[in-house]
Amino acid sequence: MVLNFLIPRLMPGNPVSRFVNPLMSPAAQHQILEQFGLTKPLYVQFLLYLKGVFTGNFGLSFLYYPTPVSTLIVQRLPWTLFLTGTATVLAALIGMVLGLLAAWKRGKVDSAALYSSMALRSLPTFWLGLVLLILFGVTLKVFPTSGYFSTSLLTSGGGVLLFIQSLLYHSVLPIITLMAYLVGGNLLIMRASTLNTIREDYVTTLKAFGYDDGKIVYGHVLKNASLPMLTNIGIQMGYIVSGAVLVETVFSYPGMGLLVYQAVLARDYPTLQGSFFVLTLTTLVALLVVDLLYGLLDPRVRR
Amino acid sequence: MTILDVRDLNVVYRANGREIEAVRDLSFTVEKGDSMAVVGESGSGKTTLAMAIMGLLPSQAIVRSGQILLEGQDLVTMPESERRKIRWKKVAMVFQASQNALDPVKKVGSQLVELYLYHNRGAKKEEALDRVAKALLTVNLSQSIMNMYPHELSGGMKQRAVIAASLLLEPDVLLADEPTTALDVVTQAEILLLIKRIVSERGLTLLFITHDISLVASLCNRIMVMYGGTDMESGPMRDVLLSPTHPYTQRLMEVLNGLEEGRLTLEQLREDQGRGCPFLSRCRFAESRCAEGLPKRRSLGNREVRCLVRGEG
Amino acid sequence: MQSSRGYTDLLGRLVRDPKGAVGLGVILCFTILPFLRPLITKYPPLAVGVGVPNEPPSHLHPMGTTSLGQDVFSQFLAGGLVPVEVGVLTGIFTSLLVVLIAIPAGYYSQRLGRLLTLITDVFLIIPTLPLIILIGVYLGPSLINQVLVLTLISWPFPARVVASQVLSLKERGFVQGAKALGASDARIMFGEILPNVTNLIISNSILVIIFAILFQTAISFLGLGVPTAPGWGNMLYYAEQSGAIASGEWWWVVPPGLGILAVAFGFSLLFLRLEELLGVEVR
Repeated sequence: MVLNFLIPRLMPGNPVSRFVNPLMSPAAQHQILEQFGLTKPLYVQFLLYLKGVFTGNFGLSFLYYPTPVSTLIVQRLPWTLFLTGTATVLAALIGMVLGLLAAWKRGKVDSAALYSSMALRSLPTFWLGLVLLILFGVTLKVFPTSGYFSTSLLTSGGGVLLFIQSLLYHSVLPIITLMAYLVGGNLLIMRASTLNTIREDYVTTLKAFGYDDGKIVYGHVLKNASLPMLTNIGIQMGYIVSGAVLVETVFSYPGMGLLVYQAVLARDYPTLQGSFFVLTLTTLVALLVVDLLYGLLDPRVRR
Repeated sequence: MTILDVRDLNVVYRANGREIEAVRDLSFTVEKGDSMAVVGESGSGKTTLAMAIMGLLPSQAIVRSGQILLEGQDLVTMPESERRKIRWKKVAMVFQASQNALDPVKKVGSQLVELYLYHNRGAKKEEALDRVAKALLTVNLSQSIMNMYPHELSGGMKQRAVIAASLLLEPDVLLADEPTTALDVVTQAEILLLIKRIVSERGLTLLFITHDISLVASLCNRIMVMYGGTDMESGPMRDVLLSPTHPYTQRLMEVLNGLEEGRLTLEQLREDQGRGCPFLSRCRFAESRCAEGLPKRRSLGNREVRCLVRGEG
Repeated sequence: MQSSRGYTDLLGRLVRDPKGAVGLGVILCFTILPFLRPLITKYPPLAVGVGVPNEPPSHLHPMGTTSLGQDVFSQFLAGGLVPVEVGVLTGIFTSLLVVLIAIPAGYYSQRLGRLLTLITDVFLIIPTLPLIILIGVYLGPSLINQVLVLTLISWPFPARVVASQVLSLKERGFVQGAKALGASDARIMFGEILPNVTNLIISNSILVIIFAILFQTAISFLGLGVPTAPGWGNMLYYAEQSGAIASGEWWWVVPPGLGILAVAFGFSLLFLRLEELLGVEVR
């Protein structure tokens, strides 16, 4: 696990030396390179980078010059976390409940659940975002189409409640878009896991105890069947970030995802390095949290 | 008084459009206080019988006909909601304590307490804890078990815990389905002694299901031998074992006594879908008339036998 | 061991069930349609100005037109080829890699197997899309590069599954028997073990294909694909670039996405049916 920390450090090797902005004259290029320390030998750059990482200093952004990368990240990270966090939790809850019901009830309900979750997993996330945007944002004008809150509020000085309301409004579509794929996966896993759990011996014991269905399902099956789904959530972490990039781009939501996208287009290495590192770090932390949670729930895993 | 009365029970399994008879035309009675052993190899229908009595048949299994009268009430026609109230209170089951008889993510103690409180609404937690403690004592388990998880217990301890659970609501009938199969020989003996003690101390009626006759010889006072989904011979334990009438019982005793080598071959229940005596293919006394139909049950002395050849006077 | 006749039979059983039939049908449909396109509509997909720009669906143009006056329907018909191509190629290459890496890894040592697990973990943590974008930009835009990048990202996951399967197969009777007979390692690996993991590899490769299709279209959408190749992802890229969203031009946006959805779903159905038939534990 700890070894994984090393990998993001390797990342900066890639973009650094290859792409020089071809539009500028050689002299100007050289000047800029010098300014950013790119002319120094590679290993020195690497060392500098490491040093920067430890002190939280990722250098200055090319694109938003001269804003430091760390400032950019600090600005945007919370929003992305809000988006992804909410989507993950909601998707987990919905997938869990639906998966459980589908497996317990079987029959047509189950088939419907199976196919719809498969369909959800075949959805191109960005497309869903586009469609929702057009449908609700443009045509029906129910939800706003970009940003994360109305900037006009800043000037008109509305209260906290209005702010929250605006925030929610702006977040609904992106969150739904992000959730779709996740719910599909969660549902599938939960359903499969519930089917397996039902077949376990202790469920027969519970029935023998005379427990009614409700108690068996919500009191015992739920907890046992959720465990594989929890693992799946951990696996989904990498995807969630990808989804964030897409969703934020579609909805012009100023978070880390959009930052990465813009940075790539502009060949903004410091930002890329910094964002990449932070994103990987966040994913790592999230995975650790999931692991901990799993240990909390499943006594067999604890030592 | 007769506490359990099974009459003409027929249970079939439906799979892939085919029907398989698991229990055929089975009838027997159990008096209060008796310890009845139900002996048969796998596929004989004994577990299906247990499940039918408890009302735990899987959805593919249907009771086609027959009655299961517990203290006069027919469990077959009873609505599930009624059955649930009786379950565990009147009849409790002791399962094979395989790895998974208990919920692995909950502590043992809390599962037992939960059980008590579910059937005794309004009871206080202290009362439940007290009862659970007493039950654990009866099965020689230390109180520290309460805070442990099932996977932390040994096979023998798990089995005792399951027995403790079965005693919690003070049932009248104890149904033990192969309770010692997964255990080592020493633990096996311990558990058997435990069951014997509990049954006699509390005056319980015991139905002990197993494939191993040697276990029940000293435990039970009556025996029913099952094969192919129905009863082949039933009667007082000593008599049946010492002088078996049915050819199958004879074979069992011979193997037990080491007179004949080799193990009994496992046959699939499916093959016995034909009419006629299910034991036909392995019986050395078989005559042509044995293939015509299921032999009727006949009283022979102090027991009942289903055999055309040997079941007559 | 399956003879080639066994595979034909497998195919037959595959399509007998609606899941397999529909799945395969959809995939083939969108793979063949691009070639049939000239028969269906006379407007070439990339031809500019064949119609009034930004028009909603009409008789002339069943799916309307783009901002450059291109026929959306035509683009829709032709758009499936690229994603599916890339997807399938990725699946094939990934499978090759898996065979070459996972089988020896599982066979030779536990440590190699654990290394594989480690690599998989790394890829799990690194955000997928940013990584793809990064490497993609590094390599330059081309279809082959897309396949390469996607293969690079995908191979650890099935590899790990296969490796652990190989590990358990290694101890089985027929392998030990072959060893006792003096068969060389290579022979055992590819003669005995490979046929037994083939089912696993095939199932997993379908998952990889689905993943690749979705990501290929995603990259194209972000403008990091190959701009000239007609594909559904590209269609959506252009749609966004020319402000189709703001103008609510749903006829441009909906079809390509539906196409992607259909193809991905088709592969999912195929996977489901294969799982039934081959009875394999994929995870």
